[in-house]
Amino acid sequence: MDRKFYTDDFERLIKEMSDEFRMYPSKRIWNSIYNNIHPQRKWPSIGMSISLIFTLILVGHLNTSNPVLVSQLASKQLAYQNAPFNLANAIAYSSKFPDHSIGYNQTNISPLNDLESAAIVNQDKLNNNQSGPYHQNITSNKKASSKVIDNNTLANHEAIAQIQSLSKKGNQNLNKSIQSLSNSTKHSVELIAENSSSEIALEPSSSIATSQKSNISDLMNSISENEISRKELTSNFSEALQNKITSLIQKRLSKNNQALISMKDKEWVENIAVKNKKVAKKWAGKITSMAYFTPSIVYRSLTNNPDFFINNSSSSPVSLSTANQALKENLNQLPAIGLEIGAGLQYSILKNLSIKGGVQLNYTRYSTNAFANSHPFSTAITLHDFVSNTNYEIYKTSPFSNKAGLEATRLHNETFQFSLPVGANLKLAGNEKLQWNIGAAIQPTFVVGGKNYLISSDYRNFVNEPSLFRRWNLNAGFETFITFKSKGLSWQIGPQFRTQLLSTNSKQYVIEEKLLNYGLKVGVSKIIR
Amino acid sequence: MTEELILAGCLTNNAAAQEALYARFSPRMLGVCYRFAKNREDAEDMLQESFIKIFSQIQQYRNEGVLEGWVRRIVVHTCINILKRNKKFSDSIDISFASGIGTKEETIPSIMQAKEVVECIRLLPIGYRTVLNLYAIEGYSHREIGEMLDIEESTSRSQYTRAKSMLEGVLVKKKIISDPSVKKTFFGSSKVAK
Repeated sequence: MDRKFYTDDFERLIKEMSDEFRMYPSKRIWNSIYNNIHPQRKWPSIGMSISLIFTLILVGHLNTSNPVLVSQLASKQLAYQNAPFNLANAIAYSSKFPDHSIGYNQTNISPLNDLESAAIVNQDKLNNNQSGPYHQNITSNKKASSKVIDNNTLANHEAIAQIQSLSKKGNQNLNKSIQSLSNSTKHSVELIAENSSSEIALEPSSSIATSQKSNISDLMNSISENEISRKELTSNFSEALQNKITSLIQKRLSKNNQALISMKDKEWVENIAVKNKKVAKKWAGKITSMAYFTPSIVYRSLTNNPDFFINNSSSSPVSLSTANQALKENLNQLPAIGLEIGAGLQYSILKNLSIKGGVQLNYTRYSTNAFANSHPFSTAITLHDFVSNTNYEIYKTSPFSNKAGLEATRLHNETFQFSLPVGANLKLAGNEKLQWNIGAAIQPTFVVGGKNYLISSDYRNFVNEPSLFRRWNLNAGFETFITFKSKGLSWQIGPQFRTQLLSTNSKQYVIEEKLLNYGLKVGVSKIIR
Repeated sequence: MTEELILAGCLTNNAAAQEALYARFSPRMLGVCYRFAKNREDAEDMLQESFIKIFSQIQQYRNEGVLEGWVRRIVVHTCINILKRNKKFSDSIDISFASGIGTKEETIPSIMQAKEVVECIRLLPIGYRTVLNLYAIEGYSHREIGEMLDIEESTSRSQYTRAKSMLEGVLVKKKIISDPSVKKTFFGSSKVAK
């Protein structure tokens, strides 16, 4: 810097003006800096989210697999399995275990119902957290605020009445000034009340009720900064009268040492009511509410579970890949239209990165070409016994056959799912109006109901067995979308891919089915201020 | 908290001291960033990057000169680096960018004079604005500016001359300065810039 002096008045002017200029950064900037320079303190919330997800997965896992029950059932069934399969055997099996499926289901349904109700309770809690207590807080704060207003107004009126009695000899301007004092005091207090819902932590209503006093000094100090009032006072009051007013107010305040308004509130009053400065809300502009729907095409992938694949046929050994190929060849299935509807909140943690969470409903469906018969056939589906690590068959009856039958029909495998997606969005490019984003979410899912037509062991029949639904599942969603803003709303559109991470059916069923959704997401979001 | 305490705390990576340093200098430094940036959001990004640098390089401050000067130098260099990185500087150093000033002028918020002056500076094309900021306000020489912006020293001079006359025009239009003769009377005798 070889230039030590500003040699031009113009330069000096802009230098001085520029040096005077100050801007106050938002709290978010400091938070970002802090997170950057103290990275070890950055991740507790993410850790919490991960542990929550793992807890959900664990609960789901525990509820979908019950090896003890299966082993008990399997030991009874093995005796029947040793006998050659025929209709009489199947009937005997059915008569021996008439409520096999029902009993098995009941044992599973019971804990699931508990979990289901727990999910509903959690949902209620979520709803309450979103609306109930918030409104209650607002109401209680407003009540407290109105009490403050009432108490302050009452106390102010008393003070004003005393002032007026002293100023009987005063001119008419005195009354005007007192009125302006009263108005500005009331205005200040009303401003506190209006903002009480989000910014001001008022004293508990009980303490307000017991104190029954107003913090006139704080407000009077604030008001004394008001130039108009001061001008009116200085021009119209004598100094003696002012002293008298001050002493009266101080005398009154000496009885009331307990401040109703905290230092934080006082600061707020100075900033907002007097200097008219805005106080930035910590979360303002960071939280976005969103709603979306995604029509999709649902595909499925069917494979034999490699962990449970046991070659039982000693005469003609079959490899896993051959078995998978045979599975594909023997089924004639078609993708179908599914739908996703969801709503949630998004929180911006960095300029380009935001986390999101919400609730979501999914309807998935794919179709199977089959044949309907006039009477049911006896058939079997293969399950796996975790204790003995062997596969076994349970016998069912079904009117639907795969290869040939009385009348061609189409079976619809469908599920109704309730999910709690948690994920993140990353802005890749764009400006305030138009942006390109990518997003991903992990979706703990509860399968509310549906139909699952399972292929029989010999690929000849389809059996509808809802009891084998895996009630708790896990999905992952990936999306990229364009966001454009219009009239305060932000619209999103883009392709979405959703894949099921666990099989649709229970772990015991040896064929794994995973649903794949290719959809077009359309969403709308609005920043909560 | 005194500057010595803040500095000592920052050297030991103390969060409270770091926050105190940030609270002390951030308003003025955001003003500096704002003069270089396209908008407030960009200015806040610049400020954020600057303070991360400040805290990570605080060991390099040797108590030579005022702390604010050292902080300011880092902020200015960070702003320049960001502008160069985003190619915003090189894209708009052309004089043709000055044509839109007449229309933009109407959008200046007239809250206070310092803000008005800064907003007038921000109306200049970014190339002019950067040179003017560095020369007239930050006190860098044209040679230093040339090195910082990878331009010739003579280019910096000519950019500055144009920026200055353009800014004078805007300030006169905004009635922040009345006219050159009045300005001379008000500020006393004018000197020739080196």
